[in-house]
Amino acid sequence: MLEEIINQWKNDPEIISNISRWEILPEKKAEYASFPEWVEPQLKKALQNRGIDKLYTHQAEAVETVYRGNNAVVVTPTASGKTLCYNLPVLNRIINEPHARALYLFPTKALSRDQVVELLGLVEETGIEVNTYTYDGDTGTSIRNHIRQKGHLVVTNPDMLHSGILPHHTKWMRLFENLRYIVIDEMHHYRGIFGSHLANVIRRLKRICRFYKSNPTFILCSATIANPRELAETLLEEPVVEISQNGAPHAQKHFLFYNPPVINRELGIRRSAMLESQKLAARLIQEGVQTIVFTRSRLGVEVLLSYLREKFKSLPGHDSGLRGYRGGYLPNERRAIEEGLRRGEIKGVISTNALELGIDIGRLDACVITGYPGSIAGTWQQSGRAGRRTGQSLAVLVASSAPLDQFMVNHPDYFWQNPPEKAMVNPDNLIILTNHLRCAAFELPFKEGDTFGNAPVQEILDFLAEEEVLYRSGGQYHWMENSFPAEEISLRSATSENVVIVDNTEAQPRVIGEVDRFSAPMLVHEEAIYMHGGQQYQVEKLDLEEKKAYVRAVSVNYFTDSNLSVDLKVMEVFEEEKEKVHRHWGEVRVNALVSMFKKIKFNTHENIGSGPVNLPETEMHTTAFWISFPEGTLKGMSRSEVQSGLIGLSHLASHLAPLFLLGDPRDMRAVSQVKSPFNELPTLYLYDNYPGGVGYSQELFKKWKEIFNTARQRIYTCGCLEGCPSCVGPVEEVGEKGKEHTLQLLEVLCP
Amino acid sequence: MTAPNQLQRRLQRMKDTGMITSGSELKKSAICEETLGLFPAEEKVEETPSGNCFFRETVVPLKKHHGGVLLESSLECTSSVLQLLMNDPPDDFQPYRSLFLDLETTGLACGTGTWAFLMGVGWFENGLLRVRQYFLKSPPEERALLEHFTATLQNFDNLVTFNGKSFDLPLVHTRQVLKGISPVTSPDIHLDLFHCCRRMWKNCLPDCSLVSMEKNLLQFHRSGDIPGEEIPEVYFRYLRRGETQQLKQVFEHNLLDIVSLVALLGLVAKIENIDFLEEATPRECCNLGILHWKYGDISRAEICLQQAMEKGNREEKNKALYSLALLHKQMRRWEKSASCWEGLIHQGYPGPAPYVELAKIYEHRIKNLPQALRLTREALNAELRRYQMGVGGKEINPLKHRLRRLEAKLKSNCPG
Repeated sequence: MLEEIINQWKNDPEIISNISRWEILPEKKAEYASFPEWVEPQLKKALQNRGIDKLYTHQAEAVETVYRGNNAVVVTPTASGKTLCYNLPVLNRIINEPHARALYLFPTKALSRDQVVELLGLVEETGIEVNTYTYDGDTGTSIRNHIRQKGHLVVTNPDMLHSGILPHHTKWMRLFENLRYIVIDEMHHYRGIFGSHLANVIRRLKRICRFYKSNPTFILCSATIANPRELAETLLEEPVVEISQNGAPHAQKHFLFYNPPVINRELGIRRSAMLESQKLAARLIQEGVQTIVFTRSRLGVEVLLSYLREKFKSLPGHDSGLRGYRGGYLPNERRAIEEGLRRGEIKGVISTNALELGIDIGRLDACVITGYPGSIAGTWQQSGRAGRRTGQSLAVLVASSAPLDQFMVNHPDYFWQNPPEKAMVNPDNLIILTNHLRCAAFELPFKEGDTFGNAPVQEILDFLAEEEVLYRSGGQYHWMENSFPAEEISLRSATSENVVIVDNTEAQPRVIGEVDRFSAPMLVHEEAIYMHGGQQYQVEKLDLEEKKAYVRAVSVNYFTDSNLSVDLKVMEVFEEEKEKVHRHWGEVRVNALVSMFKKIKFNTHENIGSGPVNLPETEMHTTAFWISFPEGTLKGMSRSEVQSGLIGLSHLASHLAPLFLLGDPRDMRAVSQVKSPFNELPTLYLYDNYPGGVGYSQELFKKWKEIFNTARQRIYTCGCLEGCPSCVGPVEEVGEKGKEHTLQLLEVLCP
Repeated sequence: MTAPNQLQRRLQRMKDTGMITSGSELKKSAICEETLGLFPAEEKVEETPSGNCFFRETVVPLKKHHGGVLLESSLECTSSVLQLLMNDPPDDFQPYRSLFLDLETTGLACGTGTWAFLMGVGWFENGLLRVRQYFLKSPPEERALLEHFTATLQNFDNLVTFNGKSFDLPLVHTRQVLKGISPVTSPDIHLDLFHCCRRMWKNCLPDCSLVSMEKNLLQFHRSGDIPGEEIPEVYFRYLRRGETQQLKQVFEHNLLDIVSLVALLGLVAKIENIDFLEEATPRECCNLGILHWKYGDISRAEICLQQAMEKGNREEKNKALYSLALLHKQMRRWEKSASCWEGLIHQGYPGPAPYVELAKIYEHRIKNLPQALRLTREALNAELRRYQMGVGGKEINPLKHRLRRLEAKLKSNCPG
């Protein structure tokens, strides 16, 4: 069926004319190595019974590295047998040393479940006693003590480690005294805020291991990113060996870059990516090709799901085979969908990157990616969902009109020739570090001269003592507060507060999802349309104090989008370079206010109304990179021309920054000031959209030339006349000649 | 509106120039008070290999009443009483071999950052209750304190606490691990009065806190006591500023806790006595009856349940009668059981259970099927009435099923 569709598309001018690249990834043969000598016979036999009589080359390299006591990071694509890279050395050690313990960390509860099932099968096959337990929020209290005493393999997540295990380490004495291996799977998840938190959780974990005189070896696994070793070494603050030569096989795969047709050349408007992927996905699903459709946002999931359901309404039996999947769905809802996909009962799933990797949904035939996922790494991960062991598979990237998408679809070589992006973390984010120092002091008192990774701890400990959180006595800093610090700190955000969404439609109110505190004013302001499970809800009331948004089911023909206005003030300069232009990196204060929202009609995406939003502004301290144009550099440009150029530049720069940094486009934001209060000069700011910052702006401070060069390329290749959403932004925002003014600024930046 | 800001600025300037003193300076001035000692007559400092260990010792005569309980009566507690109240009762229980333990901590959160800064222990000695309160004058002394405390703990056979199984002992264990003291096994027998008393008095009290038991069971009312939630802050103020005024109240609070433990044990000791039964409330009689029954002392159980029926109001009577009916049923005393169920029906017991139980007796023992059928109909009616009033209803279908089964059985027994 898939082959037929592929052949039809090849010959269909309406399709082929939109395809800027048709890449065929050839089949790859497996490369094998034999079991190392030291593998215990019963383990070898168990693996053979499960059909594994030799190792892939990368597996052999990984287990050998770990066996020699070195930390390893294994970088391989989906389904290349990465779990064996850690299960083999861990089980081998337990056979030799029955008291040995290992800790497995997965980023979420959902991700750990599938791995445990596989592990249990292997353990059973060996016939040795290896107590394997999942320890998370769902673990019953009656079995917890048993796990602490008897668990050889404890599978958990960073959140549970942070608030459920480390602060109670005395109960886990047996584990910590005998801890030989720590497995960190899905390492690429640990970037940005989450990664910065994890680095500090690991600092705490290692501190406690030292207390119990153990020195475990770390085994990390990651999807492909540009800097796996650098990330691993930043997280661990120890040397790590990188293993990235994949020995696993894969089948032939068609990879298509699809640019929706232009419908208004002057304004640079293309058909919506959403509508195009709906068309492609509908075709695939209708033919029974099991397909996953990725969209960039939760909203996208819901919009596409309702479009597709509408389309299939007349085809009996199709509706039940279609599902949405995203964060904010409740766990059992998700489990049912995963199960349906594995069994093949669900023919099509519309998802955010929540289904990116790790979660076992089997292998699908086709994958439609709506909008460039923001990174080369993410694109590979999403496309990796399609690909069975035999036959063919298909991945289509449908570009949106965003600058980054248009850059990629017009320069496919960039994608095929460049390594994926860098994952950034900032373990020394002052807010995060200070919070984890509190937790660490709760766990064990600090002695003067104690270290905490590479962090500058002395000043912060003195500060906490001054603030009467710690008590300094006998050369030690002791926790002296009537509270449990880990409970107040969420690893998922710099601050811990989420707003829950309560559905008031029925007499019995029920919680249907949640959003983080910073996004709440944008997503669930009063009158906003919130979508969940293909159902629209209108927000009736947002109670920020109680952290609740009350919604009611509605049926309308639009969705809402809010306008954010931002004010920025420089607090401190960390570094500066004053050449032709002035570049800075430092700390800023950002005040954000959602002032109004727009109602946008389905399908046509026209603006059909608006309303005010009355919510307090949010304030955030973060890090930023900014660049100023000194007097004389912009000769001959009027103030309004400079303004127009700055707006164009900020549009381009914030959208293209993800080319260089692994993250969400939301992670970085741009603001421009024609006359900055900081130095009275025209200035463009790019800031980390997280309190305390996560390291993006520092990286941009180094890579600024590359970004602005890419921006200039984007303007040259864009076919529009005066500006469009795909380059400098729509004419209404950037003004007439916006493109020209932006280019003038770029001439100064990169002559 | 500008006044407070201006005031704040002035205060800051005055602080900067030393015109007013900040917290750290207060601490300096408080040191002289501390050299006088917290409790000059009662405190002791013992030298240990790990440093100094500070404690205060006081004695309480056992001939004293704590509320309505004579402290001495705790010495009468026997293992047979404990069999009623514990899951794992000891074979032998010697009250005078007991150590009473209560901790004051820097927080209620479990976890490694919570300290036990005051560890109160009490034991019997020459007709007296001796209470020793280990006090952590500064964190570096913790090791010496714990070592001394651990050694004391080992001198006793029994440990008596209130919720010590979940709170005090795990906390002590955590502190021992943190200080590298090999966790010494505490006394084999751990009598956690929270669990014991909850068994006996759960439905007699508004809640199962120590304060509630003091008030309602011991008739002891604390006056001027410091609220538990303020205690951590008092200790922090002592450490940081040397304030001792309220700290002394914490010592008194802890002392009272220990004395209450002794008194509660004295109360527990008496529940087997016949005069306890005479003075007991109907609920206490009923609970005691059920405890005796579970332990297997049927005749005592009957006596207690009878007492409850005699003293109680209608609801309490019904509850006791219900238990008695089940007791007879278990003993296969069908006639007695039947008369209890009939009694319940007569009393207007809401719900189908007495009819159902009686029907079972008619069906299986007396072999009177028509009567069993009639009673089952009554049971269904009772359940339907309850359902209409918005309670129950779960039994409707099982009862209908039971009814059909009986009708069929009746038909096959008398064909035609």
